[in-house]
Order: sequence, then C-alpha cells, then structure tokens
Amino acid sequence: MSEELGREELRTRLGALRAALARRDIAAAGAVFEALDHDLHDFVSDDQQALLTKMLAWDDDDFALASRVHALHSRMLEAARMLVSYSGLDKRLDYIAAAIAYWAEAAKWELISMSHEPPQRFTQLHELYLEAVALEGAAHGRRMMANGSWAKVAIEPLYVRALVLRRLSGGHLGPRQLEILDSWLLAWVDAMALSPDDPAPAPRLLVQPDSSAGLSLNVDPDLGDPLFLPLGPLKAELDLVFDFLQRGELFPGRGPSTTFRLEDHVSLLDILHREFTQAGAAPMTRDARTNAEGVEVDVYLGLGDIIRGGFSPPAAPGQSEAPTNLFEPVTTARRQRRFRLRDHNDSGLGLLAPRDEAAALHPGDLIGVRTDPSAPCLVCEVVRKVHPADDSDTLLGTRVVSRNALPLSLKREDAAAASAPDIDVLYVPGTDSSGRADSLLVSDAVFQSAGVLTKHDAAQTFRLSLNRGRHRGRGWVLAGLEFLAEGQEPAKGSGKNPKPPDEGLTLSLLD
Amino acid sequence: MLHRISATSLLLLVPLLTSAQDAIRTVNVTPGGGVELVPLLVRLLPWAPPGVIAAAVAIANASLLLVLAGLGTSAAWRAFQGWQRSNVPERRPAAIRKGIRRAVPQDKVRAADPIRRAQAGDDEARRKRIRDRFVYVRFDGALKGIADFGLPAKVIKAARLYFEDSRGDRADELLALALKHQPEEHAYWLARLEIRFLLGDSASFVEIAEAFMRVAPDAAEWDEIKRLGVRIAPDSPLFAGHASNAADSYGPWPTMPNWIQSSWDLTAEVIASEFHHHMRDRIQEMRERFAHNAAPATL
Repeated sequence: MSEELGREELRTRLGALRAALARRDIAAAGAVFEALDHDLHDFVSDDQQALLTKMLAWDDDDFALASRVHALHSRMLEAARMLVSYSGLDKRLDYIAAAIAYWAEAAKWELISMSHEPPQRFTQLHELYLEAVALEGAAHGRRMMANGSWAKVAIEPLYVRALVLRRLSGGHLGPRQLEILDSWLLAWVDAMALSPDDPAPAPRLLVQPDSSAGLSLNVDPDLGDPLFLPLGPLKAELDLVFDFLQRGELFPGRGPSTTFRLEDHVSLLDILHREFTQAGAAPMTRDARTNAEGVEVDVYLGLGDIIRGGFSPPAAPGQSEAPTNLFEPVTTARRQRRFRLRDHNDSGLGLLAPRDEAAALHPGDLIGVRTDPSAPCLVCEVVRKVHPADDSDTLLGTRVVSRNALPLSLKREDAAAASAPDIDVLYVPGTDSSGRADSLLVSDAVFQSAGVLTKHDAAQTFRLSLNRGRHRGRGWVLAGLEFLAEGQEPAKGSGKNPKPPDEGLTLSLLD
Repeated sequence: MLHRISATSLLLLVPLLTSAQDAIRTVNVTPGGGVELVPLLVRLLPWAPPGVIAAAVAIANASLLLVLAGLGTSAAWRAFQGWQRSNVPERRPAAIRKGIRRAVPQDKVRAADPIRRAQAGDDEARRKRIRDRFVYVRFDGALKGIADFGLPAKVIKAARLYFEDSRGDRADELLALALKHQPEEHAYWLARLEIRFLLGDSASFVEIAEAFMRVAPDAAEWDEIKRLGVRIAPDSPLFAGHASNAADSYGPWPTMPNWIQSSWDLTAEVIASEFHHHMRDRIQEMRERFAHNAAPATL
C-alpha cells in the first residue's frame, strides 16, 4: 500500500468510526474501532520512525506530521472512551484497556509534537482505571504491538506505564528518549504493580486515583487512599538494561527504539537511576527563584555562537554582527535572539522562548545568556523544556555551567597541525584556586582530536591535554585538563582522546 | 518398497534351496554353468504331478526376477540418495532437528554452515561495536572500548580522575566492569579497595575484600589490605587476625598504598595552579573592559 493510499484508507476508516459513533451504532463503531486498533501500527509506524530518527532539527512539515500522529491517538482515545460508555460488559474491559493505552500514546506525542492542544487530563486516566478495578478487571489483558511484536499487556501495567511516562516527561527528555523510555516500560510490565501497602522506606511513588494529578512522592491527606508503586523492581529491570549494553545489545533487543543512537539510551540510564533510587527520599531542595518579570535578555545558541557573540559588546536590537572576513559573510552574520527571563537563582535560569526559536532546542543544548549588557554572558545548559497549553512562549529550564567563562584560542602542538586554524574554546574556572577543577568547554570534535594543546602568552606557554569529559551535552564536552611540563609527553591514552569506536553506529543499526 | 519385497522373496527361497543342496550335486550342469531346473524339481518332488512342477518352475523364475529387480532398484536408490546428500541440505523432521539442536552446541552448528557462520560473525561484530561504543560513551571518552580493559594503567587513571571529580560511584562502576572482563587482574581489585577506603565506605570495602579473597587468597597485597581493613572495618571477621599497629592510627601513614596510581610528581599541579591564577587575571581584565564598554579581543 502506497503512502497516499494508506492515508486515504486511514481517513476513510476514521470517518466511518466517527459516523458510527455519531449515530450510536455501537456494534458498527466497535467493529471499525477494533479493526483500526489492530492496523493502526501499520498506518503510523513509518511516519513515527522517520520523525524520531531524523537527526536534523525538525521543520514545519515534521511538526505538522507529529501533530497528526498526536491527533490520531487522541481520536482513538476519545473513541475508546465513548465505546466504554456505551458498550456492554463483555466488551467494556477491552475498550478500557485500549483507552488507557491511547492515553499514554497521546500524552507522549503531545510532548513530542509540541502540541497546542490542552494536555491530557489525569482524571480521564484515573476514571478508566477505577472502572476496570470496579469490574475486577485490572488484570484484563490487551493485545497490542509492543516493541515490534504483538504482546498481551494487562490494564494495571498500562495504567502505570501512562503515569510513569507522564511523570518522567516533564520536559527533561527529548523525543527519542521518550520513545526509548516507553519501549522499556512496555518490556517491564511484570515490574509495574500497584499496591495499597506503603513499601517505605524503600523507594516508591504513589498515586491517588481520585486526584487530578499523576505520580507523586507525598500523600495528600484530603484525598482518598493512595496506591503505591514500589521502585525496587523497576530498578532491578534497569540493571538488566546495563547488562544488555555490556553484552552489546540495546534493550529490549527489538523494536524501533533499538535503532536510535546509543547516546540516547545511555543518557536515559542516569535519569532513570536517579528516579528509581531517590524518589522515596525527601525531594531535592532548590534555591528559591527570583521572579524576573519577563525582562528581555540576549541569547546565543551553541558553543560557536556563544564564543563569537557572548563575549563581545551587545549589538543593537535587530542589528547583525559584521562579518569577520569577506569570504564568509553569510555564515558568520548572526541574528540577535532575545528571550524573556522568567526567574533565576544561583544555579539556573528560567527562560521564555518564542515557539519557533525553541523548536530546535532540546535538553542538553548549550546556550549563552547575557543578563547584564555590561557583562559577558552566562554559559547555561538546557535541562528542561515545557510547552504551555496556550499559545504562549516555551519555558526553558537551564542550569548555569559557568558565570565566569573566558574564550580562549589554543594551538595544536602537533607539527602536522601547525598550519591548522586555532581552536576556540571556553575556559571554565573551577571552584577552588588549585586549578585542579578547571575545565575547557569544547566541541565533541575537538575533544576527540585535540592532542596536546598550547596556550602562548607574553610570559609563559602552557601545554595541556584534555584528559576526561566531566560533563557532556549535545555536541559539547566539559573537559578536564592535564598540564604538561616542557618536553613531557602526555600519559598514554590521555594526550589524544580516542576516536569513538563507531560514530556510524546509528546508520549501521538501521540496516 | 521394492527392495523390501525382493528380500522377503529371498527368505522364502532359502529353505527350498537349502534342502536341494544334495539334489543339485546329482543334476547336470550346463556348459554355461547353469542348472537344468526341471530335472532338479523332479528329483526334489518325486510325488508331484507335472502341473505342480510347471507351477514351481514359474514361481522360481518369477522369484528370481523379483530378486534381481529388487537388488537393482536398491542399488539405484542408494546411489540416488548419495547424490542427493552431496547436493542438497539434509532435511529432517522438526522433532529430529530439535533433538539435534539440544545435542549439538549452536556454535558448532554455525561453524558447520557458512551462511550462518557469516551471520553470526555479523552479529558478533555488531555486538562488539555496541559494547565499545557503550564503554566510550558511558565513561566520557576515557576508554576507547572493551579492549582498553587490558590496559590497567589507563583504566585505573580514568577511575582515579572520576574519584578526584567526586564521582566515586562512576569510578567503582568502571573498575567493576573492568573486573568482569579481567577478573584475574589484581590491580583492579586493589584500586577498587583503595577508592572504597578513601570514601570511607566500609560495607563495600568488606564486600570487595571478600570477593578478592575468593579470587586470590594468596595475593602479596593481603597484608596491606588487612591493614586498611582493620582501620575501616575492625569488626569484620576477614580482618580479625590482623593486629592493629597503634602507630598506623596516628599521623601520616608512610605505608599507605598507592593502588590508584596517584602521581608523586607535583609539576602538573603547580602548572595548573599557575594557569588558574593567570586566567583569573584575564577574566578580571575582560570584566573591566566590559564595564568600560570596550570590545575585548579573543584572548
């Protein structure tokens, strides 16, 4: 079936479903829904996969496609909820299971597509689960496509999957990480059981199904009895993911998520490890944030932009920087970006970015923010991205990497690289004066190929190598330094960082 | 089927031929070596009427033809089977194949089949790429891949740097993974012990020491390990027999091991401190220039 024929067929079936529901023909609507439910994966999987594996920033067409995927899951959710209301007891549990599954899909694609729709409501989800419990059907299974093959998943794990997905997708995860997380959760259904007994002090989360909220740490005494989700079994499952990777396999071993970059899998490990081991403890305290009332600030995206613009006097609004040479007037001219500062404290800034500017930004990106026109910019990492329900700006949560960075030009000592251009990096001072905690902020490419670098100054020449990555983001590394005496060779393995074993891994895995 | 019928025919003829041995000796032999059948039967069955003799001759001829046909068919069938085996993969019923799978190790099956051997090679190469890439990404580029676990100095240096960056858990994860690949490498065990000692994590120290005892009970470093053990976990039975030297508990400890290979040469540290102060001055200059709205050149 060609792509266009497939879309036409999908439109026809959705039209038939809508018509049958409108005339309350439950038998016909049920039949169309079940057939569509069975075939939906075939209709959307290629589009989903193309979107999620795209390495470039999404364009308008991509967002439109993601929105269509989100809308499709939302419609299936609404259809399933109507069928739950009108169908007999024999079919009701099937439709409840389908509705919960589509709730999770819709919530996931709502985040991925930066949807303008109102967010999925927890009350819908809780009502569906409570109805299943009332029918003594929490263990009722739904046959669904999970990780590339058909599997039967019970209503309770589907409910927990939806709750966990929503809890962990508070803007900290990118689209691919969300999809990987979902694939892991679908492989962990045996570890996702709710209990009325509190396993504390063991790590756990809880949900109060009569609330309008999802998973939380603390009980709201004004609401009904909570159900507890012990995190120990999920932590044990997470350890298996480590085992898979150490064996050379991407968990769960099959399904679309195993075609994503290994970095996306590995970064998710740390996020889940923190969640599964600390969730039962007291919530982390954070310094109070000062409201900045939306004052406009200059923003620089990426290491190159920060080095070029963040340490020069600010340009007038709307004015482009002069090109540095006549041969690259297009590439070096930059547009001044201005976001609004929402709030701030010592460790981070909350920014409000126009939707089109924020579309290309994801957690892990490096940005420079000049909060004071008479000072150089702060270097920050995006750690959270949230789209408000209305059409207003996107909220970016950022962590300050350094308030005292300094741009440096370094030379490679390698004789072969004598004619090569200087390497532009950012010096990031450590917290103590010994220099042991100092770092250089460099691009991934520089980190992999730096070798011995030199910094010539009037009085002195410093020789150094980048000997470890202290922190990594998307395309950049905060690298630790090792200083070398004159004539000293770097220790084996520390002078020139190894080329990654297989940068083309993603492509080869797609074969 | 044919060769089974001919074999049955042969069996039926055996008693007849056996009892006729004496009679055969008395009959005429033709110039070609053959036997005249009718006189033979008359001698064997003197009571039989001529019709029975004729019927017996017919049966004997038919049996002979069957025997010859059976032998010929059997030989041809075997030849065909031999040719088939040499050209077509053998097909067996599923149950038999399962039995073979259970009995024969899969690597031998793969080794015997060039296509499966190639696929297994591809799978293994892919797994190796993922393993290497995982090690590279997980440990921030400090190691190139699994093969680097064969270089204890490199691995221990990476672990020490993690420890110095207050990432002791990642240091331990790195050494634990190294031990999975090189369980006999004492240097990894000792580095893990020292890091746990420096972190003051007595439970993990004892756990690792017990595991090391199982691997290398006669290692030369046990005196040192017990010396550390007595200090960090004096109640552990593993260190119970080791007398604690009071001098060990006070002041500098000259016999403190250096299993994480810290450098005694402070040159790099001195340069790092100089660089830090140099950069601090530059940052201050930059800020002053900003305050005067002057464009700072890239330093």
